[in-house]
Amino acid sequence: MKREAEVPRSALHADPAEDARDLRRLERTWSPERGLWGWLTSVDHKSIARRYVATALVSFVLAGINALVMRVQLARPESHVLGPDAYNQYFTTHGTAMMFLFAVPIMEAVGIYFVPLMVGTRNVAFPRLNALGYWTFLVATIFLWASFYANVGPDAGWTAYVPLSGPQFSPGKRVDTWAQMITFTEVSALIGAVEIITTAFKQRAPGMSLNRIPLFVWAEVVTAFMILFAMSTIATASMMLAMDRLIGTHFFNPAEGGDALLWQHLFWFFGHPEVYIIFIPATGMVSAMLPAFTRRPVFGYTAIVLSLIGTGFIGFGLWVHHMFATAVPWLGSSFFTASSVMIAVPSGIQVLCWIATVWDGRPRLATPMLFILGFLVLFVIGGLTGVMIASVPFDLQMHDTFFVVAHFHYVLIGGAVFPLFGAFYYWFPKVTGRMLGERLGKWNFWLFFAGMNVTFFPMHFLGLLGMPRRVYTYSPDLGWGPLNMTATVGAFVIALSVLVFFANVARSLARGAPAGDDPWGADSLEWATASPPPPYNFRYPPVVQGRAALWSRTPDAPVVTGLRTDKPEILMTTLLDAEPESRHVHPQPTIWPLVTAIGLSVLLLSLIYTPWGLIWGAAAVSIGLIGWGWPDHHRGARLEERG
Amino acid sequence: MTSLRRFPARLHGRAGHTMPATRGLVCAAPALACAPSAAWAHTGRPIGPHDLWGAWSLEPAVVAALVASAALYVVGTRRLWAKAGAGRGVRRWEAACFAAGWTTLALALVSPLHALGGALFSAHMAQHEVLMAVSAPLLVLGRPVVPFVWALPRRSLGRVARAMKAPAVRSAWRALSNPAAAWMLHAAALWAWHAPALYGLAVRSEWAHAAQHASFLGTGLLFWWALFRGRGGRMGYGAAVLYVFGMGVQGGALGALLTLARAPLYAHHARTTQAWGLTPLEDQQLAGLIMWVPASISYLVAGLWLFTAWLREAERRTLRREAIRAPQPAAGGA
Amino acid sequence: DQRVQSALDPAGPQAERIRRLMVMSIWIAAPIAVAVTAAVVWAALRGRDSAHVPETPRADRRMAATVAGLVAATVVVLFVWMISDFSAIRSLSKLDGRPLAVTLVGHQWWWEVQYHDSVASHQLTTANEIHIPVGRPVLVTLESRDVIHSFWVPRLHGKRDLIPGYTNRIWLRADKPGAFRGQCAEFCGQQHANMALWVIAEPQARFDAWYRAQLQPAAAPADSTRIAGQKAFLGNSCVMCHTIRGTPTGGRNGPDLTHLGGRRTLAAGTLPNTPGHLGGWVVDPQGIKPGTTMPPNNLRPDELRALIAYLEGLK
Repeated sequence: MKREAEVPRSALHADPAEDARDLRRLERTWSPERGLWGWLTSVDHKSIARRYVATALVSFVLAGINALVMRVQLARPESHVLGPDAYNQYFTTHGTAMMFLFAVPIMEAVGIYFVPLMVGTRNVAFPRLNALGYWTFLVATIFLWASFYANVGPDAGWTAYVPLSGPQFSPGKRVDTWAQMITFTEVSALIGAVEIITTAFKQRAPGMSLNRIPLFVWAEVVTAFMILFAMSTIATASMMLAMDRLIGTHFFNPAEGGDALLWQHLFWFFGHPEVYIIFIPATGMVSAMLPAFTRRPVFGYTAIVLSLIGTGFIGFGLWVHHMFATAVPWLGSSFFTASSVMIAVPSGIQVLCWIATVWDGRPRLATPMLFILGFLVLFVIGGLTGVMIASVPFDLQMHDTFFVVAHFHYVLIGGAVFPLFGAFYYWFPKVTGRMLGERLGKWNFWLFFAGMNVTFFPMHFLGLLGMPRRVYTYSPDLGWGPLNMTATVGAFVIALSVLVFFANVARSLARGAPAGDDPWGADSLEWATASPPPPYNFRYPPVVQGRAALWSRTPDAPVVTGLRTDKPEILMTTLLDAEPESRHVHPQPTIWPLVTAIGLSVLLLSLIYTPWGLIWGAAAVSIGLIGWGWPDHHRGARLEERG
Repeated sequence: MTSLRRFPARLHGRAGHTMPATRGLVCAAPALACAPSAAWAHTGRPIGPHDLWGAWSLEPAVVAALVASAALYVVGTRRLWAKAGAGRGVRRWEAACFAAGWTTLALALVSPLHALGGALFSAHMAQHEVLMAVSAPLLVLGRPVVPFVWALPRRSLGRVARAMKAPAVRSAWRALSNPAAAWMLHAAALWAWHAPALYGLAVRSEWAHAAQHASFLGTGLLFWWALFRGRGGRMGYGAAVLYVFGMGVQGGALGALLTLARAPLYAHHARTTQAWGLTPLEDQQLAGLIMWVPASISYLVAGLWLFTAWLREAERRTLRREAIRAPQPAAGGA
Repeated sequence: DQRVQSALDPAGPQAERIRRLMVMSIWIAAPIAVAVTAAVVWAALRGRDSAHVPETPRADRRMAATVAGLVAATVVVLFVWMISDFSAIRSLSKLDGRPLAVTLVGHQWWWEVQYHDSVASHQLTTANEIHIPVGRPVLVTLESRDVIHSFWVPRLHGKRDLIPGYTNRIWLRADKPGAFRGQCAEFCGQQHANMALWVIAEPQARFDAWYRAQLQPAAAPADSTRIAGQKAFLGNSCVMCHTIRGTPTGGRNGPDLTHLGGRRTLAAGTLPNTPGHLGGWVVDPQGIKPGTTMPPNNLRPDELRALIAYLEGLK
C-alpha cells in the first residue's frame, strides 16, 4: 500500500518481518469469513453499504421502467397500453419505490459507506444492527416488487390518502402491502440513522473536532436526526392505518367519528421532511465533491452547516402546504406561505456558497463536476417553482397537477439524483479501485440533463393547461397531446442515459483504469487509504490537523497507534473535540441479524392476514434475538488460533 | 477576574461555578413579579377597538416587580463595572439582552396587549409567546444573577447565600435545572394551561391568571437557563439544539391543533371577539398560528445560535490544545 | 376547444387574479433562473483547467460580502414575492353579492349537483353539470359521500377538496358566458381520470329558463318507441340507482337522469352525449370506464334502441 510509506517510522515495528505479521493479523481480524456464509454473516459497513446501493439501484431501474410504461400510456390521448387498475399500481409503486426503496436508503447507504471512512474509523458503531437494517430493507424491496409483479401492488398512491386506502374503498391486500413495506423501510432507516449519528459523534479520528467534520458527514447527521423525528410519525400513521384495515378500528373513518384529514397531517409531517431527508445528503455530496474539482475548500463552511440545520428545522414546519386545498383556514394562508417561502433562504445560502466556490476555484470539468453544475441549474429551477407553489392561490390552481409533478421531479432528480450520479463517478474509484470512463460519463451526463429537461419542463405547461396528475388517460380535446408526447420522448432519453451509466459501470469493472488511492486529489480522509479500502479501513487511523484533512496534513502527521491487531478494536473519541476516550472491541460477523430479519418478516407479513401473526412473529423474532444475544466465546478463541 | 475577588466563586462567568441556588432564586425574580398581582385577569367588559390605546395595565405589583428588577440590574451592573471595568463580569451585549428582554416583558405585561388579551385569544397568545419565547431567553442571556448579587447589601447577601447552600435547596435546583426536566416542566405548563377548563379558570380568576403567567415565564426562564447556562456549559449546546427543536415542534403541534380545530374551544372568547371583526373560530386559528409560526421562528433562531456557539467552542478548544501540543510532534492517540 | 380547462385563460375574477399572480411569479423566477445558470456556467468556465493551484483561497472576505449581499437580495425578493401573494390571498377568500347556493357532492366517479332554494319545490338535483348565471357569485358547498375528491374548474378558480366528514366552501363567479371544464383533482381511485364536470355560465335570463325547465319532471314519452324505452328503463336494473322524476323511480346511487338529454356529456365527462355513445355506455360501461359502479346491461337490440331514444328525449 502506497500510503504505508507515509506512516511515520516511529509507528512501525523496528523489525520488518514483525511488521508484516502484524499487518496480516490485522487483516485476518477484520476480514469477513469466506464464501456464501461469509457473505451472509458480514458486518462490514462497506459490504453492507454496497448491497444497499445495489438493491436500491435495482428499485431505481424497476421504478424507472414503471415510469417509462406510464409515459408510453400518456404519450397520446386515450391510449390503451395500461388500464386504470394497472396504471394506478404503476404510479403508486413508482412513487413508493423511488421514495422508500431508492432515494432514502441510497442516501443513507452512501453515508454508511463513507461516514466511517471520512471520520477515520474502522466500522460503523453497531455493525450487527447495521446488517439487520440491510436485511429488513431487502425484504421490503422483494416484498413490494413481488406484489407488484403479481398484480397485487398497492394502488392508492404513495401518499395512500384515507378513506381511499381504508378498508371500505381498498379491500384486498394491496394497501396492506404498502403499509407493511413502509414499516420495514422505517426499521431500516432508523437503524441507519442511529449508525450514522453514533459513528459521526463518537468514532471520529483524533483532532476532528466538531468544526472540522466534513460537510457530507454533517449532512448525513442532520438527515439522521430528521429520520428519528419523521419516522416516528409515519410509523404511528401506518400503524393506525393497518389497525383500521386489519382489526376494525376507526381512526380515519368519518362515518364512525374518525377523521379523514388526520392521516394527511401525520403523513405530511413525515412526508415533507422526507424530501429533505433525500435532499440534504445530496447537498452533502456536492460539498464533498466540490473541493476536489475546484481545488479549494468549500466556501462558507459554517454558513452551510447552519443552513443544513436550518433546513432540517424548518422542514418540519411546512407540511400544511401539501394541504392548502383541504380545509385549511384562509386566515392561515399568509402564515403558511411565509413559512414555506422561508425554506428558500437556507437553500439559497447553500447554492450561493457553492457558486462562490466554483467562482473562486480552478474548476476541472470532470464528470462529477458536470453533475454538480447540472444540479445547480436544475435545483434552482425546482426551487423557484417551489416558491411559486408555496403561495396559496398559486397552489390552489397548480396543486395535484403536472406542474407539481414537474416541480418535484426537478427537485428530486435535479436536486438529489444528479448529485448522486456525480457521487457515483466520484466515489466509484474508491469503492472498486477502478475509474469510470470519462467519455461515457459525459454522454451519461448530457443525455440525462437533456432528457430531464425535455421530460419535465413541458409538464409545467401541462399543469397550467389544466392536466391533473395521477390520471391514466385524457381526452384529445384538451390539447395535452403534443406536450405529453414530448415528455415521453424525454423519458426515453433519460432511460438511455441510465443505460449508458450501467454500460460504463460494466466496462469499468471489466477493464477500467486503476484508480490509485486518491485519483482526484481530494481533501477528505476516505482518500487516505487504499482503493478499495482494506477491511480495516486504515492500518493506522489518522490524526486530523485541519478541516481539509488531507490538504492540511503535515509530513510528520501523527497517526493512531496502539490499537490491537488481534481483536477488532476501534477508537472512541469525545463528542466535541474528538479526543481519544477509550478503545472498543467490535462484534464479530454473525448470522443472527439475518435470522432476526427473517423473524421480523414473518411477523409483519403474517400480520397482513391474521392478528395471530403477532404471536408467531414474536416467537420468530425472539429466536433471532436469543441467538444474537447468546454469549460467543468461540469466535474469539478461533481468532486466537488463527493469529 | 482578579478584581472580582470579593465573590470569586459566585461571579465567575462559567456556569457550574456559581452557587446554583442563588442563581435560581434571583433568576426567578421577574417570574415572581407575576404572582401577587391582584386585578390582573381579563375580567369585566372586553375591550373594544376605540379604547385600546388607553388600556395600559399599570398594576402596582407588576410595575413594582419590573421596576425592582431593572433597578437591581442597573445598580449591580454599575457597581460591577465601576470595580472591574465596563463590559467585564457582565458583557455589554449581555446587558443589552437583558434590556431587550426586560422591555419586551414590560410591554407584554403592561401595554394594551394585555388588556386586548381579555377580548382576543390571539392577543393573549401573542402575550404568552412573548413571555416564553422572547423575554425569557433574552433575560437569561442577560446573566441577571451577577448584577443582582452585586446589588444586594453585603449582609443580606450572606444570609441569602447561607439559605441557598442548604442541601435540599441545592438538590432541588439541580433536579429542576436539568435540561430534560426543565423541558418537561415548560411543555407541561404550556399544554396544561391550554386545556379549555384551566384556560377558563385563568380568565375568570385573577390568581389563576397570575399563576398562569408566572408558570409560563418561570418555566420559560428555567428552560432557557438550563440550555444557555446549564451544567455542560457550551459543551452542552449540541444537546440544547435538540431541546430547542423539540420545544419548537411540540409548541407547533399545539399551535396546529388550535389552528385546525373545527370548533372554538374556549368559551370565554365566545362573545368577545366580534368587536374586532373576527369570529371566535378565526380568533382561535390566529392564536394557533401565532403559536405555530412566529414562535417556531424564535426557537429556530435560538437553535442556530446555540449551534454556532457549540462549533465555536469546539474550534477554540482545538486550537488551544494544538497550540499547547505543537512543540511535541508524534503525539499519537490511544 | 383546447382551452376549456386552462388556468391561463380565466373566465372569472378569481382565476384572473391567480393568473396575474402566476405571470408575475414567472417574471420574477425566470430572470433568477437565467442569472443563476449564467453564473454557474461562467464560474465553471472562467478559471477552467488552469494549471495554477491556489495555495490559499483568494479574497474570501470580498466574496463573503458578495454572498451575503446576494443572500440579502434573495430575502428581499422573497419578501416582495410574499407580499404580492398576501394581496392575492386577501382578494380571493370571498366575493361580494348575494350568492347562488349550490351543493356539490362527490361520488366515485361522478358529481351530484344540488341547487338550494328557500322554496322546497324549487330545489333541484342534477349531475355532472353546474349551470350558473354570468356575473353572479356562486357559493359552492363541497361534500363527499365516499373518498376525498377535489373540485377544480381552472378557468374560474383554484381547487377545493371534497372531504367526507367535512363541509368545504368555495366562491366562484363567471364574468363571461361559456362552458368551462373541470376535473377531479385529488386521486380518488380507479376512474379518477374520468371524473369531469362542466360549469356552464349563461346570461341570467337563459339561466332562469334552464332552471325552470329543470324543475319540471320528465315529460311523458310521446311515441311508441319512447314508451317502449321507458318500459325498458323501468323494467331493468336501471331503477336500482337512477331517478327520473315523473316516473316511479327513486334510486340515488347514480346520477339523476330526469333531463339527461340536455347534458353535454355522459358518465361524468367520459363521453360526448350522442345516441351512439349512450348505447355503448348502457351496454358496456365496464369496457368504457373500467371499475365504474354501473353494471353492464344485456338488452335486446330493439329494447336498447328504444331506451336510447327515450333517454335522449329527456331534454
